[in-house]
Amino acid sequence: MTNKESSSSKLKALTSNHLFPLVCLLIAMFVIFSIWSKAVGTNFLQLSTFRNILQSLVVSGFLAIGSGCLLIGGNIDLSESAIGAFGGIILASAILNASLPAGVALIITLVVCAALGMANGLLVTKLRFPSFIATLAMASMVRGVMYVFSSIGTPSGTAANINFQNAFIGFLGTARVGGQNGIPLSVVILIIFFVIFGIMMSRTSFGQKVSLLGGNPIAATLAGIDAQKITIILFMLSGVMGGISGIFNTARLQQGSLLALGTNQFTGLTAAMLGGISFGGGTGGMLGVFIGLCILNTFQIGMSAVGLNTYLVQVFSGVLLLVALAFDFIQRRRAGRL
Amino acid sequence: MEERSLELRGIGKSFPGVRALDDINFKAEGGKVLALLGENGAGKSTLLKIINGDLHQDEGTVLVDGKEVNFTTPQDAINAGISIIYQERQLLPFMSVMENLFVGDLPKNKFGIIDKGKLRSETQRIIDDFGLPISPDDMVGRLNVAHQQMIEIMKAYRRDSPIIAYDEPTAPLTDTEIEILFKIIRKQKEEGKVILYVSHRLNEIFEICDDIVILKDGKYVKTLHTETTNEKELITAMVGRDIGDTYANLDRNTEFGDVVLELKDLKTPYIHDINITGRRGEIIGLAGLVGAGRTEIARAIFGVDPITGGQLIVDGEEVHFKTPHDAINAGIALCPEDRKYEGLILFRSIKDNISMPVLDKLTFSRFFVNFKAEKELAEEAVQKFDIKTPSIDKVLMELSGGNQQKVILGRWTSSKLTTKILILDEPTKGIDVGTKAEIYQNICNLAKDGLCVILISSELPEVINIADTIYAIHNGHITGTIKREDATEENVLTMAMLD
Amino acid sequence: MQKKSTFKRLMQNQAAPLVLILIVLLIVTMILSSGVTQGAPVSAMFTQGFMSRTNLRNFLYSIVIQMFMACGIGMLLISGNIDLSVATQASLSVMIFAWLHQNTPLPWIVCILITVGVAICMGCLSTFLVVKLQFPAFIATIGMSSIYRGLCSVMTNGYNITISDGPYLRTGRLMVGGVVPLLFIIALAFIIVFQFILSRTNFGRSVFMTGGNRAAARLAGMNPNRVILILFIISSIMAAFGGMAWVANIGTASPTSIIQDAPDMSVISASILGGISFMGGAGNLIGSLIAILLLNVLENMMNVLGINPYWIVFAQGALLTLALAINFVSEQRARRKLLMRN
Repeated sequence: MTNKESSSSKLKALTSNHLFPLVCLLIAMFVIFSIWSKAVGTNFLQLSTFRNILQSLVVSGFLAIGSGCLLIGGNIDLSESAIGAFGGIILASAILNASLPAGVALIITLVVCAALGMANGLLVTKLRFPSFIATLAMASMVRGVMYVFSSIGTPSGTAANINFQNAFIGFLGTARVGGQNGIPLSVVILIIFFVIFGIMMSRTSFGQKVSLLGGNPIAATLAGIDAQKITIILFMLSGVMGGISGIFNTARLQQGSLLALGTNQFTGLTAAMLGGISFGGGTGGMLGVFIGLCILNTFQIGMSAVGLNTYLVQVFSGVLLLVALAFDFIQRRRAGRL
Repeated sequence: MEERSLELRGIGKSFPGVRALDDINFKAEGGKVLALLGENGAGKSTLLKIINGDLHQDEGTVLVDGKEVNFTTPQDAINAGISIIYQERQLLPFMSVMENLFVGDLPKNKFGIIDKGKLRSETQRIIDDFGLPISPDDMVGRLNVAHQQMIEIMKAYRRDSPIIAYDEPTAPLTDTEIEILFKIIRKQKEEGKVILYVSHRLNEIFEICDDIVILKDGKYVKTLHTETTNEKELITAMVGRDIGDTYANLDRNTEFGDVVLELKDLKTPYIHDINITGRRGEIIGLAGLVGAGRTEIARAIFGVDPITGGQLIVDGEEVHFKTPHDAINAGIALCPEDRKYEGLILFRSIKDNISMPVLDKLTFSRFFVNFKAEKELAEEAVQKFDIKTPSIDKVLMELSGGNQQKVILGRWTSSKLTTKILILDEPTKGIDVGTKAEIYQNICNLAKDGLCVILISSELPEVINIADTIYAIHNGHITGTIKREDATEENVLTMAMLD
Repeated sequence: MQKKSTFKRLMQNQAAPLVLILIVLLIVTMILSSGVTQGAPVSAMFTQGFMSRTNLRNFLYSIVIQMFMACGIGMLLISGNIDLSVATQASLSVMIFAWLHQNTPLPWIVCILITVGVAICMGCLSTFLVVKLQFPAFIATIGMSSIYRGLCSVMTNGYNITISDGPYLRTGRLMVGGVVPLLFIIALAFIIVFQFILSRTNFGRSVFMTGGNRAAARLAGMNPNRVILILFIISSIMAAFGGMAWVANIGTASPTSIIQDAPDMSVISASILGGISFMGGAGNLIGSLIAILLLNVLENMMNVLGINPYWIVFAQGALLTLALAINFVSEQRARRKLLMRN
């Protein structure tokens, strides 16, 4: 009797966890795509699929970490992918045009990205711009500078992708842990980042302050939390995460690409939202973001495995974002915040 | 002329966990001014919201001119001839006076286009009726607060509704405007309109009202007539007992220590030349009308508003706070007026709300939160202030107002903080009488512990009975100082209303 | 006396500095582009370069879509809302219209009407998300923009649709007086009519009230939700009109070209630059129109000066930031006086 009771209460705790529907959704997706791909004669359920999914996580994964932390703190960064793309161009250009060693080039890239993130933070905290519009403007400015930057030194003076060769950067992009068929190094690094940020958000006083700030910025400020400082740090982190994602993208392609990360921003945001991060800020964690990310990428890879029109992926990502918003809506309503 | 009336029969209304109104019965007749009187939380606002269609009653009926009405939106109430002057001004700051007056109902010509000429002349006519020095084209946001309030009153006057309810209309007004307002009310009374007047100011009620309906804790107590009653009887009916009791039984602190807080000619954009001295163990009361600048003094001390002149001295040293964070480090704490939106994170736990300012001190290895220490801190506060909750993980939203207030008190007096100066802005707003007494005693206990407490309250009896020294604030200036022994409601109010 | 005060009032108008800058930019562009500095006669200013027939025509065509969008976006901003899916709505409307025009025997007017019908549905959908489900407007509309963008490409599998020559293109390319496109005049008429509605009708006032103080609007007996619904629908219809005008000029409906051009971003910048408060509750459409002209003349000038065209992308963001900053400063000044605390 007691045993039964405790197991049923455990079950209840499990199902009421906000991650529960996400995990169900992920499993359901695997099941559906496996059956569907069998029906159309392709094979979805195989090891390489998992590897592809993990590999595809990397670029949006770093963006999602940055977006997620910011969202928990009650802000949004729509310039993260632009900053990341610019970071990629800087990296490529520093190696190709300035012949800098890889380490220095990486540091320069990250410093520039952090500075751009800081600029966002200053616009939002000091001038009190709404974060989405400030970062939208920043995205436009950064892309403009990136085009100009990439056109310097090209024969025709037009912006172009920058191809380069560098052993260390190449290693970053293609190395695998555990031999030829192992996990890509970039995936391992991403997972390490998720763990570090997960711990930071849930266990450190900084993480606590971020989520309190997202919960009620006025009350948090009046209770002595330095809202401006934290917000600026979060925007800088977001810039750095954009930069890291740009670096891995560049490393994999051995090319600084102007159109890099274009759609990843959206994936990152959607993943963060799916992970239970409320738009009012204040809830959610990194594990949820990770699962959200897996859902989106499984979906994408599943769609191509069953041979659906790839443009539909865009449509369904939009639908998933709305679904995430709906989850958020239901949860906020249940918490009485509406 | 047809006889106008507004009648309420058996009105009841419940919110989750609260019985806001219970079996309210009264009738307001045309040509008379009926006062609604009651303590904060007695149900006046809820009643007005039912009359204006913003809320719908659970039981009972509202009758206008003897006929039952059923409002679902504020528009229904307006159509039925009910106008309400709200306590929170409902103005468009970036628009002109005339557009604000006629909003939603602008005069149109035969093409359905707004007739500016008519709009201006109609507005001018109303301004002339009131005799105010403003022009129809003035931008409302540029007017002073009293004139803004008068615009709100003009809006209802303009509609010429047969039923008008004034909700604390005089709070931001000076004597000049109050006189104008009363002239207008008398005129409306002569025209046979039904007038409801909600106010805390007894002298106003005696001046302008005919009958007084008294509410207490959501219930109808009785109706009194101004001609045959007096202030004492009103107060007794309102509180249901002699108000002296609560205060007489307080266990007060009598010994004051060193000076910890000094404001010397302090200025911000909102306050001017403020001089206040606070000692350890002393309770300082700031009395004044809403909008007089009391909260602004608190904000200046707490590093929220920029200080533009004068000195702020804490523990003998001049300080310059850039953020509340700096102020907290210097030993200052603030319990804001708007508990729910400025003080607490409502959907977070008691523990989270208490540990908020000291998270950095609850860590090991500098970064990681020590959850055990956090828990102990919260439990300590729950015990100290007798917060009624089954667990420190309970979400603030599910606590009563009094317990929410205690959580904030617990936050600022935790052992991890060295709070020397505690500012309480309206600490008993929306809190029931029983808990109020508890909070009063808590305040006295804190003073005994050596804290300098600054108490801001709109309830005059509260300030003059709890504070040791009372400062009267008016229009951003200190207009008088008085010791508790010498303070009476009359003399403090006179100082707070001096120009 | 009376005259002086009129002049004074004109100068105090928020748009006055914009008009001055516009005039200066225009003159500079006219001089630089006509080769006057290289020895061409001064009269060339009015016939060559910027003021040449072709350039002027192209210039006016290029801002028609922004003008249409400015009506909807401007009013939405005034009401305290935002729609970031306007460009994708225009794009999808265009694809639907082009498909109907090429693949059905329906007359072009009917095709337009059906497209407008679809646009109304899009407006209702945005309202449903923002008002009924209380999603934050900008993120909900970003989600919708992803859906619309995908649908554009799904419709034709990514291919363009070329509009065959016919009454639609002929009407769309009509010129008034040889230089001014009919479509420009229509767009201008829309701006004027909507400005009139905003400033001179009860509905217009309720738009301001909804943006300024929604709770107050409700207590004054208005229905803010209905106002928002109407505005989202207007915004979608204007997006569809803008898209169809764009296609009439270009002759080809592409699933991506409008989205890449991002006219909605320029319009948001222009609206704020033109004095529409980002927080809602203040502004007018004439200011937006002047700001649109200003931004596009600036772009034209940068082209003439041979400035790297990529700087234009940067300039757009920079101008939006600048517009926000100006908006912030003026609002701070106004709010300092307000003290609408209680």
